[in-house]
Amino acid sequence: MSVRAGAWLAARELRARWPRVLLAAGVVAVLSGTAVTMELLARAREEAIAGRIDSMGAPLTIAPSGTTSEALGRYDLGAAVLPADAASRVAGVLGGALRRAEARLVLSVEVGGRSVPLVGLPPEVWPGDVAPDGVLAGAELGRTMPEGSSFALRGETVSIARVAPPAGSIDDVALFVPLAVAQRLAGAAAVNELRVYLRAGEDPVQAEARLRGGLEAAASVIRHDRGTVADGETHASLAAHRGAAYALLAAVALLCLLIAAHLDASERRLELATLVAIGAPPSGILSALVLRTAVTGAAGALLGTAAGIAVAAGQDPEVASAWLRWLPVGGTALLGAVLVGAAASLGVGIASLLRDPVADLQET
Amino acid sequence: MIRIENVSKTYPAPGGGEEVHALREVSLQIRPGELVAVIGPSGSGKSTLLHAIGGMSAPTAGQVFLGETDVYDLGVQARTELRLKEVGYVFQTFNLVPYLTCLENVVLPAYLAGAPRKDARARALATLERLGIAARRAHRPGELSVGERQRVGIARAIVNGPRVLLADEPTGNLDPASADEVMAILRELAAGGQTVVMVTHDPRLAAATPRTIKLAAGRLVEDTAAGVAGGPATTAARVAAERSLS
Repeated sequence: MSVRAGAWLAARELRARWPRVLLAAGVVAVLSGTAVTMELLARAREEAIAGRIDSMGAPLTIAPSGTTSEALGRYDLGAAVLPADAASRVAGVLGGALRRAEARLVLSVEVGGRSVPLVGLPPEVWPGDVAPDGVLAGAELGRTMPEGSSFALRGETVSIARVAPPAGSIDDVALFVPLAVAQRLAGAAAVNELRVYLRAGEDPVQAEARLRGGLEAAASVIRHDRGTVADGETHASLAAHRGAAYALLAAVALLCLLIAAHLDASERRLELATLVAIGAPPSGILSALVLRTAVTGAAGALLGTAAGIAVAAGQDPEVASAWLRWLPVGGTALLGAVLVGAAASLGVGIASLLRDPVADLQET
Repeated sequence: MIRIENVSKTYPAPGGGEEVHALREVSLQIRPGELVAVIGPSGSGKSTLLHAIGGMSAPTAGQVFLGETDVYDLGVQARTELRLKEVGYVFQTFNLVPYLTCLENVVLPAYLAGAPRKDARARALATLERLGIAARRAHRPGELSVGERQRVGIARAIVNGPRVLLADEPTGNLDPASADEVMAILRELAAGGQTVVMVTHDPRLAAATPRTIKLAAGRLVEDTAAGVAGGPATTAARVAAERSLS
């Protein structure tokens, strides 16, 4: 009952005092918008950096059980394949830490009298400007098999559509075809390599441990740190700095709201005392104060989040293309604004109710 | 029935000086339907007495009864409920919630008392009509004359049908014509069975009430009701109070 009356009172005050509400919401919007913009741009940059590091190779590779790091380095995967549910199990184990998993099928083929790795690439990484029946050559192999050259592959004549840039790995001496082509050549719809890319800031050592636990003996998990560990450390350090900046923003917001709530409570001492005199329960008065501030904070945070996304998207196209992924940042800003607002009004409200209402009534 | 037994109220003095005795051993009874004016100089304890009756200010000593209920024997929640349903407050400065319309100001106590929204609104509207102010229901307090504001204040005080109406200088901010109107309303409410206790500085209004209680220096020094709180005792108290004042 009392909370219902409090909500009723808060709704009427918000309606009647909208310019004041708009002003307070504007302050919250500026603060939350600043935080949202900072966070979105930082995340987008970190994702971009992580993407570049990933181009050097995946931090984790899932290979058939028993595969050694050395054998993987030589693309000597034999005839063993990964379990059919390997990709879904990896996704289940890593959850939000997984950026993407790239399933490959690596075969060994005879080309010009020598054994060459033939790698089937999934459609999402196959170059869009290369036909599905084309073949890519690694940079090193491209020296002897340049673009346009033809060769016999298991009885079929194929030509090199493009030479890939140097990768600094066994990929430089490999041939690449679409995964479906490789699976047709192998006669099995299977894969024997799963390259696991992690989200920016995820620790590959922890991810490896989780994968080992989750996959048990079904597959081998091989880790290549490359730049991911350093990237993770940089991410952690920047996240801590940003956290400090957000704490400062939250402190400023709390201070502003406390000042506003205190001035408001001073201004309405007579009103609160009158409400007590006419029999309004403290819970009703408090809920009116808290709801009013919470709604103001929520409105400000919504405005700030929208503005923050717009500003960040204007600065970085990555934000614009992945705005759904950033929504939790807006949600956090919203929750933060509501909680900070509620805490400020609750504190001041309780302090107001502890005053002697008779003294406030008699002051008039 | 309001019964006050040996009520004293002492405030600690600011700065640690001598305590302030707002009320000293005041005893009186007010019957249902009585209209009582409480008079006395500033600082004599009139408002303190009113707040003590209304459950807003616990006496340092003594007891306050509304009917058979010992007001200060109740817990905070029960006393809040008592104020909501059994006591109505009318203030000198009206104390209407500025951002609510007249109707909403009157709806508020009904809504607080748990009335469904439609019922609360209907009751509030009927009360405003009874006080002749329904036409201004959509206006905010700042848009009304002081006389109209006080009518809304009275409507808010009576919307839950309280047994007791406590009015602290209800005509203090009104012109004589508005004051007369408010007094007529209070008389009508008392005639309807509500007990009305009104603090006033206005001797003209006090003279027009059936019963007057005079306080001086926290003591009850005069009560015009025969046989209530002991006539000789009040005379003795008046002499004592006047001595202490001089």
